[in-house]
Amino acid sequence: MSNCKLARTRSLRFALGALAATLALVPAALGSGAASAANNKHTPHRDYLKAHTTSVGADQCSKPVSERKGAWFCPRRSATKLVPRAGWCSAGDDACWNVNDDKISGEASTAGAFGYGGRDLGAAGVWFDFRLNGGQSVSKPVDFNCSCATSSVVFEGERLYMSAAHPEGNGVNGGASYAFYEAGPKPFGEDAYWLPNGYKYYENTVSHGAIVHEATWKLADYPGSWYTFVKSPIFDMTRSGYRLTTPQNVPSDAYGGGYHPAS
Amino acid sequence: MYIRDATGDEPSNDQELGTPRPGHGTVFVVTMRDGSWWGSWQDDFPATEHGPRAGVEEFYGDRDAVVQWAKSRPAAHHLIFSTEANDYVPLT
Repeated sequence: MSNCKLARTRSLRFALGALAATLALVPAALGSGAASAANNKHTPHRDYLKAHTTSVGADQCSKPVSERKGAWFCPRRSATKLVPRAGWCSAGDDACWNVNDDKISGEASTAGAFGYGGRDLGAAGVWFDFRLNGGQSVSKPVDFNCSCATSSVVFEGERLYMSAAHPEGNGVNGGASYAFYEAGPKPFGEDAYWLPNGYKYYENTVSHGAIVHEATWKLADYPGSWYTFVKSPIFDMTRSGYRLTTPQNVPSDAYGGGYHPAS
Repeated sequence: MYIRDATGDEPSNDQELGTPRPGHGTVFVVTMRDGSWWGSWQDDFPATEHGPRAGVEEFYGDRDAVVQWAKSRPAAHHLIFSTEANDYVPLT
C-alpha cells in the first residue's frame, strides 16, 4: 500500500460531515455519536454514567445461581478468556487495567457471568487497547467476547472528564464524543470488534480524562439485553498532551454490568 | 445516515473537525501497537459559535513516511515520542 494511499485528512471528513448537515441528515451542532443516535435505531445506554451499584440484577449476585430471580450480571473477569498482557486488577479480579511504560497507551478489560433466573447463560466481557497522541485517543481493538451465541452486539464509546462532581466521569463536550457501533449477531466463540478499526476522538480541554467502552448484547430466546462496561485509567493534561500515570488511577465505578429489561 | 470511514485504514470517526491553520498547532508523532506510525497535526481554533472547534490532519505509515509528512506540515510545533526520554521531544 502506497504512502499516498495511507494519507487521510480530517478536512475530507469534515467536508463529508458538512455535506450531510446540508442535507439535513445530520444535525451540524451534534457530534458523531449524537448524530448517529438521532438517525439510527440504537438508543444510547451510557450506563457507565450511572452508579455501578444501581445496575439491574446486581442484587442477585450474592445468591446461589439456583436462587436468583430475573436477569442478572455478576462481574468476574476470569469468567472469560479476556486477559490483559499485564497490569493491575481490582479486588475480586473483576476488571484489569494496564498502563504501558510510555504512559500514552494501555488497556482495560472486564467480564462477568450473566443469566436469567436460575439459568447461568454464560460469561461475557469487553476489552480494549488504547493510545493517546496529543489530544487524540484511539481505542483499537475494542473487543467483546461471550461464551454464548448473541443475536446482537452493540459497542458504545465516549471520552470522559473527571471532576469533584463527577469522579465517575462525565461525557466531554456535552456528550458529543459519544459514538456506537452495531456489530450484529455473533456465533458461539466468535469475538465482536468495533470495525473497521475502533473508536477515535480529539479533545484536549479537560484536565483529567478517560475513555470508556460499553458492550450490550442480546440472546435470541430471552427478552432485554445485558451490558458491561470498563473505563480506562485516568490521563492528565501535560505540556505535551495527555499522559497516564498508573493502572490503579481509574475513575470511580470504573467497571460494571447489568441488564436492560426494555431493549 | 451515519457516515463511516470506509477505508479500513484508520478508526471510524465522524467528529466534526476542520483543517489545521498554517503556523498554528502541533504535530505529534507516535508508534502504534502494531509497529506502524501515526502523525497527527492538531490545531485548536479560537472559540466560535459555529463550526469545528479544532483542525486535525493525520497520516499513517512507516516511520520514514510519517516523519517526512510531519516535517512537511507548516505547524507551529513538531514533536515525536521518544522512548529514551519517555516523552515527546522536538522533531528535528
